[in-house]
Amino acid sequence: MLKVTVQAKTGLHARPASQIVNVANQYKSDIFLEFEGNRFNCKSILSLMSSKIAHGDKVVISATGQDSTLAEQKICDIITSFVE
Amino acid sequence: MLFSKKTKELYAPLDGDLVPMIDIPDSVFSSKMMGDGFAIKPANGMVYAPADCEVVMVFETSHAIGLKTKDNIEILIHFGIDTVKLNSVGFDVKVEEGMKVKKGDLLLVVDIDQIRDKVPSLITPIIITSGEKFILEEKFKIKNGEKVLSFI
Repeated sequence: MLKVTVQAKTGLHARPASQIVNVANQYKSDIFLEFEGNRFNCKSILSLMSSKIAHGDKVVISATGQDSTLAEQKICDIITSFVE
Repeated sequence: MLFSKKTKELYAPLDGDLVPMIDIPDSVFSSKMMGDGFAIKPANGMVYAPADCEVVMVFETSHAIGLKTKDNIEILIHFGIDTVKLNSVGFDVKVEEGMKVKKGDLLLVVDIDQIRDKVPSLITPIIITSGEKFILEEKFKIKNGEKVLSFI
C-alpha cells in the first residue's frame, strides 16, 4: 500500500484517469485507489472519474497480485506526475 | 421482466457532424487510450441519452457523463476538449449519479456560444469504455436519436 497526495489541479479527469488505466492494465494485479472509505478500480476509467478525487486529496494505492509492488509504485509515480 | 434486453445499437446523443476517433484533436482520445468510440462536432449544446442506461458518473465539472446499460456496456460522453478547465461554467447537467434514463432523455445542456472561445474544441468524444466492438454508421451529419452504431 502506498499513500499519495493528488496534486492535479483539476483532479482525476479524463486525461490523468486514462493514463492511470493505461498503466494499470500493464500489470496483472488488481489495483485500487482508496479514498474516503471507497475503493476505485484503477483499470476502469468510469470508476476513477466517479471517485471525485480532487486536488489535495490523500489516497491510498493498493494492489494485490504477483506484480503488486511494482504496480503500486508505477501508479504512485503517475499520480505524482500530474500537476495541471 | 424475466429476461434482459441486449443493447444492440446506440443512438446519437447530439446533433452535429460525425467525427472518427482518430480525427479528434486530442491524443488522449484519438489514440483510443480510453477505448474506441466516435465523436460529434455539436451543432448545439443539447445532449441526450444514447440508450437506456444508468448514470454512473457525473464529473464534478459537469462536462463528462458516464453511463452503463443493463448489459454492462459503459459509455463516456465527454463534451468538448479540455472542458474540465471551465469548472462547470456553461454546463447545466440534468441528471444525477444513480438515475436511470431512457434513450433520448436530456442529460446535459451546454451553452456552446459561451464556451466556444474558451476551449480548443467543442468536438465531443463518445467512448465505449467497456470495449465492446461495433460498426459505426457511415454518416456525416447526424441528429440526436438517430442510430449511430451497431454492436457486433
